[in-house]
Amino acid sequence: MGGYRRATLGALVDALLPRTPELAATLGPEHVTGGTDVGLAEYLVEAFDGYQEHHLGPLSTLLRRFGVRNYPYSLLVALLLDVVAVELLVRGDNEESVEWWSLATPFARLGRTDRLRAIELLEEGALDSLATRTEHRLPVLGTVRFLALGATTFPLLGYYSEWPGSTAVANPAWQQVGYPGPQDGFAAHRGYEVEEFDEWDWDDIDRAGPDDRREDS
Amino acid sequence: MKTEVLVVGAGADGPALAWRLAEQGVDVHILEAGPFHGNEDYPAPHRSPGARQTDSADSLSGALLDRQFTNQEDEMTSPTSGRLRWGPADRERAPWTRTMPANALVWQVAGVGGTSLVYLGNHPRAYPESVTDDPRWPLDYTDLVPYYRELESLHPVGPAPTTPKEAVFYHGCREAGYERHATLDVDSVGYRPMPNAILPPDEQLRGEYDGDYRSPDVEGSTLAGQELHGDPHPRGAPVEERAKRSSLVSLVPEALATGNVTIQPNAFVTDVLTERRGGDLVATGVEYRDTWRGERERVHADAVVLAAGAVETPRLWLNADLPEGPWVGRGLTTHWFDWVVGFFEADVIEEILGDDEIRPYVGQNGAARLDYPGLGALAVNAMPPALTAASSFSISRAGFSVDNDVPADRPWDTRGRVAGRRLKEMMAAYPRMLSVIVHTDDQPRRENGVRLDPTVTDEHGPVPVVEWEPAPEDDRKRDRLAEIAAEILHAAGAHHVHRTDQAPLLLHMHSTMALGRVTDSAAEARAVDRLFLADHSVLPNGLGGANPTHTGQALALRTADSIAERYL
Repeated sequence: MGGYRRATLGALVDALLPRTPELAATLGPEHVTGGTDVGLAEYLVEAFDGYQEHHLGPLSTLLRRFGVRNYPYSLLVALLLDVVAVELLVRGDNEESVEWWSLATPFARLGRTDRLRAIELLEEGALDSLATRTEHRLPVLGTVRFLALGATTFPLLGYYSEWPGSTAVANPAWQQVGYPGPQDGFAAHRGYEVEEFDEWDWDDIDRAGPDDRREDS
Repeated sequence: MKTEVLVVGAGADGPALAWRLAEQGVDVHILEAGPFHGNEDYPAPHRSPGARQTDSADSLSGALLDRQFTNQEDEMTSPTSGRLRWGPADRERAPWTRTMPANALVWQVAGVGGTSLVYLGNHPRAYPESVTDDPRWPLDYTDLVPYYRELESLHPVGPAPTTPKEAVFYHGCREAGYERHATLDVDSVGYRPMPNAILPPDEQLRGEYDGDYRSPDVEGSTLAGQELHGDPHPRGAPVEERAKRSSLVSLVPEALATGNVTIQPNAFVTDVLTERRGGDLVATGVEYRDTWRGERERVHADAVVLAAGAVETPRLWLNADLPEGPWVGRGLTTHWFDWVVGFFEADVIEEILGDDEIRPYVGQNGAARLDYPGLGALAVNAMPPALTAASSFSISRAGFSVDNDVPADRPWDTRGRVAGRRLKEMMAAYPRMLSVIVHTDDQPRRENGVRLDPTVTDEHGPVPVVEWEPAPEDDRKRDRLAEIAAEILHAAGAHHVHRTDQAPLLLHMHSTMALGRVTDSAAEARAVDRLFLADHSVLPNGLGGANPTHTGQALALRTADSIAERYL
């Protein structure tokens, strides 16, 4: 199960933050590393599985006894990505050829751009039609939408944070963006565009007593 | 337990009210759902409970704050496990649940200081016309001015300094023909430094400086660019001398120093206690749950103040079965943010700055603005790379830019989400990137707000559903502001402009329990005597697009005076 999740989430990481050997020539060799090189799928597993506790009454009490406190959303996200990948293929909306012979999961078989299209199906088309049919399930759909938003946002939050640096000597993502990491300060003071603010001439303002305006109470 | 005034929430506004009352000799007890950082009574706030409550400014510890506020983006502000998140202090546990039925993100922070721990220190006054000319306000702008002044000298608030990114923004504003303002009271279009509650930077930082940027070598802002991640600078200083004046470093120490305030962190209020006196419903106290021990206890008081924020205050009201009304929980305004990002060539930047990079991580995160009464505001909004990537290139309602054709008459070159090689190329240009945030003057509407989720309950009761969708008029204003931002970036010399077309990112949240609609003009609930509201939920509108903390705190001070006058 862990292998399945990591394979599908790895394909997500690869679509958003791919390894880019072609950038070596234009931007430099430090721009080749991608999200899969730093194991970013692991970050996603932690982020999704740390997102929400279950509150299912006695069932939750039982699950906690086995150390299961949260919803296993990383698995749900992987499953949802595969469902929408199949949906994309059924609709014939994929623009890149699919590796039918591959043993990879449906989402991982899609080309990178088609994987992005599949994510959008998750957020929009597929869910909107479901939402109109099942009004009372909206909160659950809200969670799915949040997970879809998380699927595009968490990889960026993880990749460009300190996280990739924790498994390597230097942080490859920070090298790519020219960020020195958090510093205690910078000698970058260039003075003031305005030295001091002024205010309007508020003649006769005393502290207005709160009960001067009781007309509405 | 019994106290004179019980305050629910030690966020940006509750401590202002507590300080004001305590100064007058009133006993105030604050219950805060999250942890207390920088305090010796809570040496490991995310691993163990610490003291039950604290009442002395002597326990505040700069050394602890330095250890806890590391400035690492994931460690501090990860929405799931960050130290500054909406969830229990115990980091073994997940955040507290809220339901979002739309593609949207809500950002709250539990802990002493609340969202002021991650705010940028921005303290503009409301636009006068947004108060005086909007009949939804039961007050006049002049009612707020004395309280604004008081906060401006207390924190203090002053013009933000110029660093490279502000210099480029001002250059663009001038080239685009905008006037410069130097006023706190804005009634026309113009640009100015952000009025910030951040101590001025040390003058040594104007030139060559080879010190350690720590106290006592420097005083005031160190231009470290970490406001969003807690910003403990200058390190080594006592808590109350830290430059960014979050309520943790400004109002809380002042309040504790009176000797009349106790703060109890890790206490989540789940019920408001009431009784009938004559025909009137009267608040008499609250019930809370200790988030570490799980015990429930009650506190009784002469007056109860809800200052839990624009989401939790209405949630608590509804979970306490207080009388519902047409505007309870409704009318949420959020400033309908957007991001517009300019990319510059080295020679263009060299000409403006005499240096070929902007380095957006340098300087204060939000230090320059363009006010546009009637539409809202623009502000330079520069962040470290993870939040830059997420906010500018991911949290969008426009889809991936691979499928977004931008018509030639639009002032931006790309729009929406960016992924793959293009994302890495854009982020590689980070050192020469300037991000401008759009604050839209969105209007309160009943469809938007907070209600209880009928299907999800956590240990504190049914969780809130947070709903916010823009009206066509809100979209129109935002589109116009995004165009203006793009024009300014082009005027500054940007060779490429990207518009995020952001999905709702709810950081500024107000108007869900509005003054005049749910309370009287003194912020006392119309339906419940001795129950006052003192957080951004009482702001009747979005202040024209001005950041909310200054007005929220001003109203909290005014509400403190009302409580003293009416009941003490």
